[in-house]
Amino acid sequence: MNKNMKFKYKGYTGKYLRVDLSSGKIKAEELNPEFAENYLGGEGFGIKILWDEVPPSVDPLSPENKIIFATGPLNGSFWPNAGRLEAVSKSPLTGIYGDSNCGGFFAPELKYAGFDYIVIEGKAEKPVYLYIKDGRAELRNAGHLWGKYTLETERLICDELNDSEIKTACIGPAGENLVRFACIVVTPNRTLARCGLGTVMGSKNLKAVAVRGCGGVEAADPDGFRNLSLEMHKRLRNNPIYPAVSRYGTPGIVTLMNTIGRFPTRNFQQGSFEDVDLISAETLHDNFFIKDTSCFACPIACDKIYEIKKGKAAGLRVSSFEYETLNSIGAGIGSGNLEDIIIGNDLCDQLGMDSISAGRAISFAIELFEKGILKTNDTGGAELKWGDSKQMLDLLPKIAYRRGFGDLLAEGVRRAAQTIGKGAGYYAMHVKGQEISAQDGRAQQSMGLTHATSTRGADHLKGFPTIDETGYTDEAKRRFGDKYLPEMAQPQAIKYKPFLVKDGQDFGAVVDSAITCKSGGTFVMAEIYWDEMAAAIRMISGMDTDSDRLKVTGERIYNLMRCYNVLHGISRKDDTLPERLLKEPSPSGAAKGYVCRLSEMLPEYYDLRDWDGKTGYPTRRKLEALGIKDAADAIEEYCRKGRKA
Amino acid sequence: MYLLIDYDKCTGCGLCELACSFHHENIFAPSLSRIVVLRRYMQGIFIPLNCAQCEEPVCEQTCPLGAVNRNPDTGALEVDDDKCQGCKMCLLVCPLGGMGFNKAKGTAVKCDLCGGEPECVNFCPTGALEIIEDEQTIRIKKQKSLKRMSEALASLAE
Repeated sequence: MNKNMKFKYKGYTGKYLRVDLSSGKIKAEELNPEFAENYLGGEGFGIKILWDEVPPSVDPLSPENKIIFATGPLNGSFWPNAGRLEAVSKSPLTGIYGDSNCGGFFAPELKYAGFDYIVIEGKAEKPVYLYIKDGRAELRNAGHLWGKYTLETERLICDELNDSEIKTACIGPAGENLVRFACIVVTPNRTLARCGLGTVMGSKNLKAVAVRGCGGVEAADPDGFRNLSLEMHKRLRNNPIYPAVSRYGTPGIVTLMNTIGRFPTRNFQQGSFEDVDLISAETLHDNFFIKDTSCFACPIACDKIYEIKKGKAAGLRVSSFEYETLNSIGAGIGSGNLEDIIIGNDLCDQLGMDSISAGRAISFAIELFEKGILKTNDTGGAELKWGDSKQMLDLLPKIAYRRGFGDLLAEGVRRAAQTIGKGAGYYAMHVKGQEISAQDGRAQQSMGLTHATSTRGADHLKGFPTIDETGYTDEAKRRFGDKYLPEMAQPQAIKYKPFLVKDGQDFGAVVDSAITCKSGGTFVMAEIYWDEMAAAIRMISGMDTDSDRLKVTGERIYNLMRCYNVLHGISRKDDTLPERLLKEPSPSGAAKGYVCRLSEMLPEYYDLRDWDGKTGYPTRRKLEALGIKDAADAIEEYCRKGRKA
Repeated sequence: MYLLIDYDKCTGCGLCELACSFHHENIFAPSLSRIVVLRRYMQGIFIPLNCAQCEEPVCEQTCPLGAVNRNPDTGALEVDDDKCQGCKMCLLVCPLGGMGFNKAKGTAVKCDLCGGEPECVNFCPTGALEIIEDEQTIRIKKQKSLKRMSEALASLAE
């Protein structure tokens, strides 16, 4: 094939990189147009590669596991929030499909360097990093970077290559020490946080991927794409909640979530926190705010630089400081010490750990101590107690370096509970092995269903039901029309919620493959939906698509993730929540007295998905309609083997 | 006319670079943008750097081929692609780094204010970029200083 032959579709570079760390071989290969048509990019590319190349027999921490860094057709353009990056691998935390998605500047840079995605396999003998520049790639020694914090790693790589514009995705000590929820930190200080993808990099002796590109991305219909993009930017800027999202970022919802009782406190014992004012967006903004900053092509700038201005830690700056962390190492452990939460957030970023899972592991341990299941001889002498933020700051590095009691918590709550025994499992707040983020399904029924049916274990973002959080009636009407009101916008109503969650998961699969941001108008603010997304993809790529075809693509991607999990042992029994959320009525806030009515929603969800109601497996009929007959065959084969066994 | 840049409002999103390269070169490529955002992320510093359309432009004076000329309608200094031979003298002498270079075409490139309706201004989400008449510049700057001073005085009074 002519080396300079252009790819069939604009919006793609038409090339990808395959890197074998074991042999050191790197190959640039041509993208198959059909692959782009069927799987779009990002998450779609990731699951298809995992499906084809990483079978159930592969241990997530073995060289045979692969990690994929992928972009989509919109990345690099000025479509709102077109800077997101998707990483996909088999998760060491859950043992099933794993992915993580972040903003920043890496994804566009990768496309400008000439590649749509990177597949990394094998294991390097010694620490290395991958350096990609304008169509070329090499593995470089990372011996001197091993052990370094993430921000320092980024700086050292830029210095070494003498280019401050280099974008990196790197791990910290937690990834090196195979903490099961290690994250990947991406320029500038964004995190591919969930599912332990940093652990996969650590297991491969891969410290970082560094990328620099001077190329560009073209559009098939420049005028159409330009006009639609500008219209979307204006719609976002004029959205009624834009000023609040832009001013406070995700911390802006702390108070609101606390009011509706969806703000997990003390390991989900409560859904609201009495000291919430100490960690509210206003307190944060008034005392620590320095500057609004954006991800690539984002009109919102929900990210802020915050600085501790007084005391021992004066001068410490953090960014990408989110609602989730205010909960996980704040209210989650019963602490309202905002300064210590900021310090803890910095520790998680620098050490390279998911602050959600790390915080949940700590609150899990505190509750076990409270209940007498853990004693001082288990904790290295520490008396764990609620609200002790200094203890949290002490434990975070212990987890990252697997020191003492931290070694047990570094395994995540599911494994830790298995090791501890004595009924500890009841207090392990996870789904399919992944710790639950700061959404209590007792306060918002659809959120419970989302967590239970997400393809990467506990997770609010796959389905991301936003319009019934507190009753966004206008958004509900704009998206679905009058006929689903009022229930669609009511947090405690279960009517229509399986539909809301399924639609969100399919649309989310497209958003994560295109790739744009779920806080950037697709879910939060709900301006960009199937029609706008289909038009954008059609105009940038020239691909013949519309809303209906895109819906099939979203369903195909979601179903293939599910099938992958089925082959890894997942079935209906795993689509559940911790008993606490199903049986203990929420004690406070607007959710007082409610449990999550999951079992009432699941049958309808499976029906809508055309999955078998007993097993939760996708039916052959569904999979063949989506054009993935091989997945139906694989599940049939799996069932046959299972019966024999 | 003049592109007024407010560093305080810039969040570093880079939409101006994308709008610029797409408008002028039909491709999303910050490397081909006339306006360039300098970022010092953790310091919270974002500086969109662009040609200032100088009153006594050294690029125009230095160009040996007379390829840089002022557009009388917009006041913008423009590079004549047909005359430019890519000697890069203008890049060397510009004190602001306002002149860029398109490797593929082999010519110098710079902001021409898009004929008076800059595309970067259309896409800038924060109002960090504004197109103004020259005489407005000083007044706008003074108003901003006034705002800062009154805030400072108010905080002193507290």
